[in-house]
Amino acid sequence: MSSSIASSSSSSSSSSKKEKKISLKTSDGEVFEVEEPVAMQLEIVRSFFADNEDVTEQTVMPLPNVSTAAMHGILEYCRAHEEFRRRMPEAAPEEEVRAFEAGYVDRKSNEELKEMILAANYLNISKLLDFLTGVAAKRIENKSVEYVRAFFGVENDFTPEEEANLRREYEWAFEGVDED
Amino acid sequence: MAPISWADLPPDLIESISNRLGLIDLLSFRGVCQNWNLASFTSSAEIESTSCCEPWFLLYGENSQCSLLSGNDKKYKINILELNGATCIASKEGWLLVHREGSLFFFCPFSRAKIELPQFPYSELKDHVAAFSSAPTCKDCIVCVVCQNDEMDVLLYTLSHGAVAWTMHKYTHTRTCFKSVKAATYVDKTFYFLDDTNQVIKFSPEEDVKWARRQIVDHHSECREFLPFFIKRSCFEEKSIIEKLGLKNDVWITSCGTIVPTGKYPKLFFNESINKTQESESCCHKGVWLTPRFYQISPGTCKNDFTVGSIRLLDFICYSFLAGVVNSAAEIN
Repeated sequence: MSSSIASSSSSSSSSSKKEKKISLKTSDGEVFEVEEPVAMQLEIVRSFFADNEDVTEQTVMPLPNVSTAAMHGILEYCRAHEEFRRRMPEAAPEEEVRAFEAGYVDRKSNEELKEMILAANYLNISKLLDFLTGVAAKRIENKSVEYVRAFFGVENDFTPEEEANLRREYEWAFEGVDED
Repeated sequence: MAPISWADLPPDLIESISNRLGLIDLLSFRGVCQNWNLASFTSSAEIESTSCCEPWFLLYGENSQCSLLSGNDKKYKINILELNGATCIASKEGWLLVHREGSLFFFCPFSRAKIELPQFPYSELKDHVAAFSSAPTCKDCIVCVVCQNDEMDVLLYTLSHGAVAWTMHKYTHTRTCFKSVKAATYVDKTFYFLDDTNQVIKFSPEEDVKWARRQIVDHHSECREFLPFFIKRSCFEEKSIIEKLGLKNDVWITSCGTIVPTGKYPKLFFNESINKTQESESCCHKGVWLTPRFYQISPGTCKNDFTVGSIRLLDFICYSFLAGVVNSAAEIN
């Protein structure tokens, strides 16, 4: 699956030879050749290239906290947004952006979502991070505590006393949440 | 290296998720695990304060059993000991200004965070209306309680954050009478008091000329000033609160208004009194419009003006505008 992305990016580079590429290496050793405007959405990459004068086009920037899987997700989002920006530099086509984002997250499991939140945080892409934490919040909306624990694989580490206190205090709020 | 679980996400990431939750979801979130509970400490359901959200209605005061009606008309039963026998005289941004047994305090009914105010000059409050400039945790918070004496003077008592006593300001009518105050609010450094005959009195704590009197007129007339907010006089009926709460049609209710954001200008909900009868006052139900926010107060946020006791996970902390008065919910129980 990763090879298909890699090949698609290399084919686009052949169509526009001059486009500058930046090489990013993920934690599991895969090197991504990323178009410069897309890579510059990653704040950590932008400041790395801005702060280091001795880096060249051949420099491969290591990103030890980002897995290959998370990188695919991140680049898909950043490329789409770069595309929106290129087509409509003044104002993003809001409906299209919403449609893309909705379809984009529908395909992501909770695990993938979490990995991408961590990666977006490390890469310092505030727009994507805002979006992803919003998605996580949406998945919690109107759900019971037990559901959320099971859904996100979180263990209950309250003492029985603390748990009982919380229950008693907030009992009123927990009537009528979805049990699915 | 084991992958990081949802429970072990860095606190700032957990917080940026919990910051996006409304009141009910935030309460669930806080009950999931210790880390989520701790990291969401400062989350206050701020999204409930956005301009598309309707205020909630809380029916309280007869005993500690209260009814709550959410912005989308969902009904909850909630037990709030502190509101037993209490009266709310102001409501803004999720904080209520409450009078109970001779004392005045700020109160967040969902977190039960409580901030005591210095002794008010009167232990009995009758037809008093109040407003405050910002959340009581803000350094520039000014509280203002207004009442009218027999000579129809308007008496204003103000208290600034950190002050130990109330200051009295008096406004004497020169011409026509100002009827009893039906709404009070603070917008753009000015307190506004409105009666139900379209009269407005302004009080600007920071200006040299503090008092000004105005009349609300048709918006086509050549007026030189605009009210910086919309007014809403009969929200109770408009929103069919009696039906939605399942109360009897002829029930007597007095309600305390609030101010909520709506686009460019905020919207002021008037205080109301429905079906007032001659019967004893104990039959009167009380209600308050409020923004469903959840505030917790940490000892570190208010160094100079407050003394706060130690804080433990899951405890509700009460602290005072004055140094030295510290209560916990456990003591109230």
